[in-house]
Amino acid sequence: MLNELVVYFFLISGIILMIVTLIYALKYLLSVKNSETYDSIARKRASHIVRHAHISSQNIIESAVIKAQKILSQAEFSQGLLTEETTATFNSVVAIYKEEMKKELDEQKKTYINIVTDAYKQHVLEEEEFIKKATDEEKVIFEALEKSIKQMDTSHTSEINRLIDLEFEKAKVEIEKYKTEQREKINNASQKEINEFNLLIGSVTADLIKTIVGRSITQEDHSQLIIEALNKAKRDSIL
Amino acid sequence: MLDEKKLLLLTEKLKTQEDLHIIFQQLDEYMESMYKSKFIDLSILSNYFSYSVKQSLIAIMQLHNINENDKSQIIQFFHDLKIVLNQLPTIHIYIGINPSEHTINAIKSWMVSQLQREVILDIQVDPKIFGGAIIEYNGYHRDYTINGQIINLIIDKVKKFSNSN
Repeated sequence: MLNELVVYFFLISGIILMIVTLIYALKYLLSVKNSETYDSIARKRASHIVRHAHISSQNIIESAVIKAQKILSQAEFSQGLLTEETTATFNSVVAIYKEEMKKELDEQKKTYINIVTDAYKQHVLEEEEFIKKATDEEKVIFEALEKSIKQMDTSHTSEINRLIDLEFEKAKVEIEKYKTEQREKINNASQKEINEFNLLIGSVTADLIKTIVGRSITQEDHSQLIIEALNKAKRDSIL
Repeated sequence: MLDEKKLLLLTEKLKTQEDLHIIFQQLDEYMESMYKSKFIDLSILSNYFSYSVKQSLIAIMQLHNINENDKSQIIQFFHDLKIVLNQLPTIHIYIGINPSEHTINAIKSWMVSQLQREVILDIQVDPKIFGGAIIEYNGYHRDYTINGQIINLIIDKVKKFSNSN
C-alpha cells in the first residue's frame, strides 16, 4: 500500500512537473512570438518612414533641380541683358546666380532634413507610447524590443543620412548635367541658333544701341562705317 | 564678244541694281525700235538714253569697230552688251539708312579702287541696323554692323559665363 502510494506520488508529481514545464514552454514560445511581432511592427514603421522620406526627398530634389534650372536660365538671360548695359555688372550677376543656387539648395536640404526628423520623432513617440501600455509580464520582452529599436534607430539614422547624401549627390549630378548641356548648347550653337539668339535679344539691343549710338551717328558717320565694313570684308577675303 | 574693259565708259556709270534695271529697259525699248525701223539712225539714241550714256555707247561701239551703218552689227552689239551687263557681279549690302548720292558714290569708288573691277551694288535698307553694313557676296554673308558687334560680345560673354560655371 505504501509502495503504491509512493508510486502514485511520483507519478502525479511527474505529471504536474510535465504540465508546469509545458506551461512555461508555451509561455516562452508565446513571448518569442510576441517579440517577433513587435519587432516586425517596428521594422514596418521604420520601413514606411524610409519610403516616405525617399519619396519626399525625390519631390524635393526634383523641385530643387527645376528651381535651379529656372535660376540658371534667368541668370543667363539677365546676364545677357545686363552685359548690354555694362560689362561691369556681369560679375555681380554671376555672384547673384551662385548665391541664389547655393541658398536654394541649402533651403531644400534643410526642409528635407526637417521632414525626416519630424517623421522620425513621431515614430519614436508612437513606439514609446506603445511600450508604456505594455503589461509587467511583457517588460522583459519590451526591454529587448526597446534595445532592438534603439539599434534600429542608429542604423536607420545612418540610412537616412546615406539617403540624404545620395539624393543630393544625384541633384548635384543633375544640375551639373543641365549646366553641361547648356554649355554644349551655347558652344555648339549653329548659325541658325545664333540667329535665333540674335532675334531674341535683338529687340532689347535695338533700343539700347539707338540710345548709345543712334542719336550721334550722322550721314557722314554712316558712310564711314559702311566703308569700314567693306575694308573688313576685304580683309576677311569676302570681297 | 565685247571686251569688259572697253565697257568701262558705261559700267562706271552703273552703280546700283536700279541703274542696271533702267539701262536694261532703255536698251529693250531702243532695240524694239531698231527692229521696227528700216533705217539706222544713231541720233535717236537720245530718245532713249541720257546724253552721257548715249556718248558712252557710241564710244564703245567705236572701240569695238562696230559699223554704224550695219543694222545687224548694231543689234548684235546691243544684244552682247545686255549679256555682259547681266554678268556683272552684284554685291548685296544691307545698311541702316537710305543712302545719299554721296554714300553710293563713296561705296562705288571704294569698289573700283580696292577691287579694281566693276560691280553692281544691291543696297537694301534695314532700319534695325544702326551703323556699318551686312555684306553678302559670292555665297558669303558677313555682319559688320554695330548691332552684330554688340551681339557677338554678348554671345562671347555668355560662352565665358557658361564655361566658368
